[in-house]
Amino acid sequence: MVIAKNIVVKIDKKIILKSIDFKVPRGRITSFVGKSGSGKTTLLKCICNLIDNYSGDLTLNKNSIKDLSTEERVKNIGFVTQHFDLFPHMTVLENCMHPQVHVLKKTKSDSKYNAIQLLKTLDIENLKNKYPSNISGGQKQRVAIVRALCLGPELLLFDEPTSALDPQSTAIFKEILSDLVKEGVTIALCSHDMPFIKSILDVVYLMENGKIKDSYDREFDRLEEAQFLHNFLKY
Amino acid sequence: MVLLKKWREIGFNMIDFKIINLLFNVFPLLLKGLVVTLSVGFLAIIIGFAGGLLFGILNSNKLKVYWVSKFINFYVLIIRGTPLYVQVLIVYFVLPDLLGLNLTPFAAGVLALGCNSIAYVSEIIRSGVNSISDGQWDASYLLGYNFFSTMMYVILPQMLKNILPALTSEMVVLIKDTSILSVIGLVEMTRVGSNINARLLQPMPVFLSLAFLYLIVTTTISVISKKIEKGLNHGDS
Repeated sequence: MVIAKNIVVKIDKKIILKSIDFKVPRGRITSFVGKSGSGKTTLLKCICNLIDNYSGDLTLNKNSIKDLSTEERVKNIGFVTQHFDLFPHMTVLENCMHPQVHVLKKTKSDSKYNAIQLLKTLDIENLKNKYPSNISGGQKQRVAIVRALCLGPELLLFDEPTSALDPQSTAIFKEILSDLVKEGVTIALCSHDMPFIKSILDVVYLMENGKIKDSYDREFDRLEEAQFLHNFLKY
Repeated sequence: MVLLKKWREIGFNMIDFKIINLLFNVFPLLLKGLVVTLSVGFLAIIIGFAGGLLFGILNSNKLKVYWVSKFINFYVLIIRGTPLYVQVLIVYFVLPDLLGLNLTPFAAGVLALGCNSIAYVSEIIRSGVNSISDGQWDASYLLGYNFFSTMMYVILPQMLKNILPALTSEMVVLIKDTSILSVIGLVEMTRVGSNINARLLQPMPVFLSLAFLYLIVTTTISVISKKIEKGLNHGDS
């Protein structure tokens, strides 16, 4: 579980996150919603330590994320970026194998077996010898998910996961998310795709101007009680 | 008619056996000079590429450190703002006095051309590193690559495809610029050609042969570069 207390991020003297507290519960889907520029992506970047010059406490299973070694970090936290950022000079299989071999020091045969199994699970094994430039946006996203899952993270972050997807690919992505949660993977994502957020409603934080304005937890709250969030999700 | 007669004379002279005989004698000598030219050229290319890679990476947007960047920019300004001819003279005649070194024409030539090339290659590398999107750096970090692995496996392979044409031009220019080194007494191919002409007073066959040999070397570099570039295009749609 990720717990954040009093997170403040300043970039070029501008305060992006203003004293934020939140929790990402284990095995569930936590969504951060809000307008563009509200600080959603910055928040995810703090969780994966891509931004580390913040003040406040950010812990994963009670360990400070800043203090995690590289190996601990990649084994615990995966991040699928908005544009997927696959390595264009490597095939799909190489994209999935390379970090396992060069970061986790796994053997090539183990890495290949692991990558192929996950590619099969996400139904894209047929793409293994293709280059990223020759596959669609939805397929790229699935490859990026496999690449992240190959390192075995318990927490997977997604930045605007549906922004480059057509409705059919979005539906496939939702199925993938629910399968991942069943497998015990914790999900945190940010999005301003309201129909998508409504369809995966679990734990939701509404962000505005670098602050959390409202929150909702399906297990404890009624959506109507989270008035700002309820209104925001209408759009 | 006069012009036609003149052309016939020239044409006749062109297939004159004396000239063919001369070419057979001149070519081996020029080839010896070519060995020196290639030795100086390729050593300078290695220095230029190694130094240029270091300077280019250190001066790229991702790694810029204020004073390091200022130093590199100043170096590039000096090298690009002065003629190579003058740089060669400084390295051969001034540097030994300043540093108490005794440089041979060969060593001075390699050093001058190498240092000159560092400036140009560093700018090529810098623009190449800057051309790679931030997303690739972020993805490398998120997957756990350290800086060396990121450069080695992610940035340089992608960048190489973009900068190969510019690097090839730099190599070709550098090989051609070795001809300037005759000014410090290095007996490279152009110097050999000039010596032969001074003895035989046959500028046309000697200098055309010289140009032909330079053309073969530079064309070979360009052809090899094109093949490498084709091989690197596998990720393109």
